[in-house]
Amino acid sequence: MIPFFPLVFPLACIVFLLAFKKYMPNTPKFLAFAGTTLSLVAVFTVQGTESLKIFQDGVLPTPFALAIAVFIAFFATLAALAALRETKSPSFYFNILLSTAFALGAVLSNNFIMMLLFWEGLLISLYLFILPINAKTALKAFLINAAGDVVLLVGICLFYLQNGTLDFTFFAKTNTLLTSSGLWAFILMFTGAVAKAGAFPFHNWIEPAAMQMPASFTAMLPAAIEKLLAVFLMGKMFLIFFPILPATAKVFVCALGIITIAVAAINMLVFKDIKQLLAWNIVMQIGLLVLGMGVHIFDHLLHDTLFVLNHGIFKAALLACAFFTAGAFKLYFGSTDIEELKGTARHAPLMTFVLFICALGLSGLSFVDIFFMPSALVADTYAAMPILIIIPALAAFITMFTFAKVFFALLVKKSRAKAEGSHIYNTVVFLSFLPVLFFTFGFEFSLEPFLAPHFAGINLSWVSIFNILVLLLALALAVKVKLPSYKIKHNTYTITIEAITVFTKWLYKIDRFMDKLIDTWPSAIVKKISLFFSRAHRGNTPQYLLWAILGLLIFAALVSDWGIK
Amino acid sequence: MLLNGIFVIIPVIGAVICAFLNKQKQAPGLLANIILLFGFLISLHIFFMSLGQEWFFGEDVLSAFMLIMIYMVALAVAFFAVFAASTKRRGSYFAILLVITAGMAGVVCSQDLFTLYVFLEVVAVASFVLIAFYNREKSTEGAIRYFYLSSIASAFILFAISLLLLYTGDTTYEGLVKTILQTQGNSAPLNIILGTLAVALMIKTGLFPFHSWTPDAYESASSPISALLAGIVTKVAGTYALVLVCMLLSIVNFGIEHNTVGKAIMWFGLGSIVFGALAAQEQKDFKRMLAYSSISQMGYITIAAALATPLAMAGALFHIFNHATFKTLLFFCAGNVKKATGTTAINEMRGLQEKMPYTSATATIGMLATAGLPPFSGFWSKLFIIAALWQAGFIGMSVTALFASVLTLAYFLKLQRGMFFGSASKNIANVKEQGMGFLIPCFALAFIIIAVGIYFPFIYNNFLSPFIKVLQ
Repeated sequence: MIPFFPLVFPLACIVFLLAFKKYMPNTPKFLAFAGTTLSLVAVFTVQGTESLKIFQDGVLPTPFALAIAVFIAFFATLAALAALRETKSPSFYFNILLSTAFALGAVLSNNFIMMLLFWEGLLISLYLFILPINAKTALKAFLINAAGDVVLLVGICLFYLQNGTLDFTFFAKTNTLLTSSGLWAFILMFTGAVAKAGAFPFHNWIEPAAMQMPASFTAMLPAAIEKLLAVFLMGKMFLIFFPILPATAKVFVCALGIITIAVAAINMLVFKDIKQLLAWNIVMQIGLLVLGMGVHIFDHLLHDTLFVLNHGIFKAALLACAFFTAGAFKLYFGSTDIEELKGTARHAPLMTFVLFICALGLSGLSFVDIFFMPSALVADTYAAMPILIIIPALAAFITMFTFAKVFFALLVKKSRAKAEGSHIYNTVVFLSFLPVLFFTFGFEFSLEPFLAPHFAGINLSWVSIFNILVLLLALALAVKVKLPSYKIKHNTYTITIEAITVFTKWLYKIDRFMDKLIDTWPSAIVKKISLFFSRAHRGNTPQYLLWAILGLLIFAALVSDWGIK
Repeated sequence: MLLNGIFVIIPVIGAVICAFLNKQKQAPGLLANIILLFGFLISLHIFFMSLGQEWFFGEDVLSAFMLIMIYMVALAVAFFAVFAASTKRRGSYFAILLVITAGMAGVVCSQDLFTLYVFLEVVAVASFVLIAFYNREKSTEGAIRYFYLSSIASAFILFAISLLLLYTGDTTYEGLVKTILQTQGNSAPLNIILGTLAVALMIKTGLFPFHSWTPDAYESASSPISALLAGIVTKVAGTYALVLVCMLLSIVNFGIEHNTVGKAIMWFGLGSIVFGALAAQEQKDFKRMLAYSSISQMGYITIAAALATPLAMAGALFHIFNHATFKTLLFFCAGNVKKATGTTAINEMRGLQEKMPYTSATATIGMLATAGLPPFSGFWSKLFIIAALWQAGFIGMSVTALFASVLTLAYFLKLQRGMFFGSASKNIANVKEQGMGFLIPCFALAFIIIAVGIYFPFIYNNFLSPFIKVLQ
């Protein structure tokens, strides 16, 4: 039980919530905050105990796994805090606690099965989160994630059949049991992880969910529920599987990353809403991460993988902070639609500044990004295949271009009433900005030793200059060039659903036909024959004798020369 | 015949005594039951004593096996009739019951065709009397129709025996086997004679299209008599004799090709399977539906007997036993329903299971066993038959027989839904379950159906497997 010590608090709070919500209306709010905060404290507490050994599954360094756990608990606490101003629904607080417990469980598990169980729990909490707001989106999120989970489960089963164990620690000690036949297990598990992360083609639920849900939920999406966990799993998988991966795996992973970036970029260009922009940015950042994984797939080095993971954590922090900021705009001005937010910068200067910093970070400005991670990624991509440098450059360009449009709108001179602020929400935004600052200025603290080797061989100066040039170009173009006005009607989800609908209709037609073939028509024929026989047996003795004579003739015919031989 | 003669003589003596006890209410039934119980126990003893002997014709383990069935069904019927037979002439009733039992025992104990014919006539005459016992218009009509067709069959049998006597100079089974083995290659005369015999026995069995007496006779007779007719009489008077003929046919042109007459009988068997299953679908009367079901089940036995491979023969005999149990059970259930509600019309009542739970439960067991559903006994015997057909290359017949099982399930489910399931209809508000006298035979037969199904490995290892080995 010790490895799951931090889970005890949110789970205990869930029990209290269910027990007392009828009698004390404010209990859920308090319990959500208390449960998440205590779990954060618990994660810190176990760091210095014996239980640390159990955390150490050996695949990833303990501080790294714990950092992710801290990150999850921290942003869950902020979400619980932000929710105080966003919703009164007890189920929302219940889901915050549930998600926190399951997310921490998934990180702290030291075998695939436990991890999968907690992850399935997250699927349920995700569904319950969205369900009261929009049942259709909830179903969409559930179906897409469940499809990914099924693939992940099949991969895990295959992995177990081939290796006889699901314990991470075992693989940390030896990779010798892995054989090339494990490639399918990798492909399936990787696809499952990608689906969890929300990469192409499993991304379609993120945008509607982000648009319809409160910021406290959307901030948790990258930080606690989906992105971070999926990246964590991908990192573990690469470290376990790299000895058996063929050359094609690199192409496959890189291609998946590039497609995801392209899809996100296309959708970002037609944004109308800050939350919509951020939602597609989540998808783009996942694409960049997958690309980073693909680039480093044969490096076989822990620090390369950790570099990509760290990149994921930082981007998750940025996105969470940006979502809280968007939530603040929504709270103060009643909307996150870019048209309706024109001229709001002077009424919310702090929020605008925070969003600006987040935008720079997401765009990959070297100074803001402490580990020069986007720059390093550009460098790595260039080293892997020079032409690939276009991809991170494009991602940086699109991000900067679209955010520039946001800031131009916020900074435009337009008279409007001053909005009322919220102390709680201001605090949430400030606190969510802390990790950004930590990653920006505190890189030598704690995790740096793991990552330093990765930067040792990289000359970042030219990349930084290249990156700055790209961002300046995006900024310049944003002044003159308008956002395109095309509409994206179809996506992979709608196409899949339409295809399934057509398929189902056909299946239904086939089913009706088969039903007629094996039931309706035979039944009708049997009924007619049976009625005929009944009518032929009405007690007419001569008729009966005729039957017998007929039988005799048939028998004679059968045994004669022209009958059966 | 010496040892097995007691199975004929004792019931005849019992019948004579019963005839003198016509005015007594309980004594005839009691005496008949004691005699039949005694016969049943002796037959069991003989069967186990004769295990391992050669299986063919006359005083052998096959006869002992058939005797067990005869006495088992007759005992169940006699027990049931003690409560169900509503007649003042109880002495005559049980006397005829004992005579028909003696006749059937004579059929299976006989060692030559002429003796077999004599006992067949005893059974036939006793059957007419039993069908028409209550002297109702419908039952008399049913008896007359049976009489007509049975007379034709008897004439054919007598004609065939005469020809056989002329051709071989012998009518004993042993002599016939010797003659057939000596005349290999010249099969035409024997085929004609045995074919004629087979047609006659198909009439007695009630195979399609010689079946027309069966539904009327079964429907019009009282329930215990219907159970006796469907459960054992047609099997002994028709099927058992047909099995003997098929055994003889199987050694005509032995090892050269499958006998032409045998093949023709198989087609008639298949026709019966399909016809019975189809005709039963739209029947409105419980007993009439059971009659058509019997035609179908007789088809299974006949097709396997005519195929005459060891596996098929084992399947045929096993199905004779199983059919004797489940069809007797179903007719008893029909009798219970008739006694309680006054009718066996399927659509006139609904939800009988609420009022008659034990009858409903045992009927369900009987129906599922007839349809060949595991784990009941009928599943195994049908499996044997279908597997034997497949093994012998009659794949089309095998598949058809399999599909007919589905049809069997369909009409029984219809019956079950129409009569037993659902909420009870108003017209059965005062209906009550029958007493234990009616239910004990049902329970006993249901127990046998389940036990044989579940303990099939035991049955197979101890009875069927040795039988198959002997035939091989």
